[in-house]
Amino acid sequence: MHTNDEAPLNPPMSDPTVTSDEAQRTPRPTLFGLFRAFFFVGLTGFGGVLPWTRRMVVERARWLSAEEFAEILPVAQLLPGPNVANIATLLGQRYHGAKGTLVALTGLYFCPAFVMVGIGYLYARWSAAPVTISLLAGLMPAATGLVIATSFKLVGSLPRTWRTAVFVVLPAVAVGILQLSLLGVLLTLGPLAVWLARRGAAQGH
Amino acid sequence: MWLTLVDLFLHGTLWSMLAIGGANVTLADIQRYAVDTRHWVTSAQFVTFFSIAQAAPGPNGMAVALIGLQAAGLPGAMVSIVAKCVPSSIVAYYVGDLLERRRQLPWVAAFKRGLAPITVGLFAASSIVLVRDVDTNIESVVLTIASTLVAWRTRLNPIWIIAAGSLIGVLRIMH
Repeated sequence: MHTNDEAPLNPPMSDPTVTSDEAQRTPRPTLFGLFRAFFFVGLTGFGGVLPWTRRMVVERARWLSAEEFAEILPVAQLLPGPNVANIATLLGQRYHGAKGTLVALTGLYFCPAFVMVGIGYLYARWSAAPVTISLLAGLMPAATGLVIATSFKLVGSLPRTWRTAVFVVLPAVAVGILQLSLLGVLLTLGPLAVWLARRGAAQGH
Repeated sequence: MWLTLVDLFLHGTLWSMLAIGGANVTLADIQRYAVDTRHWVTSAQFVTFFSIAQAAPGPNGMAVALIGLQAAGLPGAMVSIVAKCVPSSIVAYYVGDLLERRRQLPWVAAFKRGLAPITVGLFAASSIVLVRDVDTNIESVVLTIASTLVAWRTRLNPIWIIAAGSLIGVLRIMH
């Protein structure tokens, strides 16, 4: 494990494959390189941008090895805010400080911002057209299914304990049915869930 | 107008920060506030915007841009996008290093393990909101079930599921 942020491009040398991998890697991205990479992530990221970010950063630009990406990802997930924005922030900072972060974030949100505003105006103009109505009548149930499927997939990844059941059902009912505020629900259930998870780990089960 | 922009910024920031495990966990809360409390958008517009945002390129959760646009025009959209990424990125900028060095601490592990079921519960809450407003006829229900099964059981890119749904919708009126 290496956590030296000042020298992110020097991975541990114990692994002999690292040297050849290192040789293929771009040294240090320029500001424009950062912008361009996250610009394409924002442009192409259909159906979730995380896989595209990985492809760009690890496979195409080769700024990080697969292991380094696997180390930065949980940090980005733990921080509040969109994971991909956090990755852009951390990478931008690593290579060019605050300027790098600003450039990477701008690249990431540039296209999506234009696209969404464009769609907003198109919607205002065409929302009453029959073709729009029927297109949305098919699109919306499909999009709904994606969210339900995400719930199912995530449930499968959880341990089957009473604690899991309680902390799945309570927020679902509180926010989805009773329509309580998310902030209040998280401030109540969050610390309790974390404390119980910590206690469970300390007791070894 | 200014008040609306401040409101959009504060709530956009809140939603971005509370999105543990994905932007879609905040859907029910956005619906509660933007539709029921503020009346920025109608219930139908809300689910439409959300679905469109799912189909568009870029990060999830860009539906807030459309809500901002509806609430306060172009400045509203811009403020919503800024709220979505800037405050959280400032946090990431200053505490990212610290977290990277400490990510092996037991509390960090407990944090992730403790919040995991809550994330699932919130995805379920989002599903409830969507089903309630979208699946109002039998055809929608069938499409939702089909989409759920395909997305759940296969590794197909979600964009094809969205595309297939849209195509079915368009073809239905042309015949």
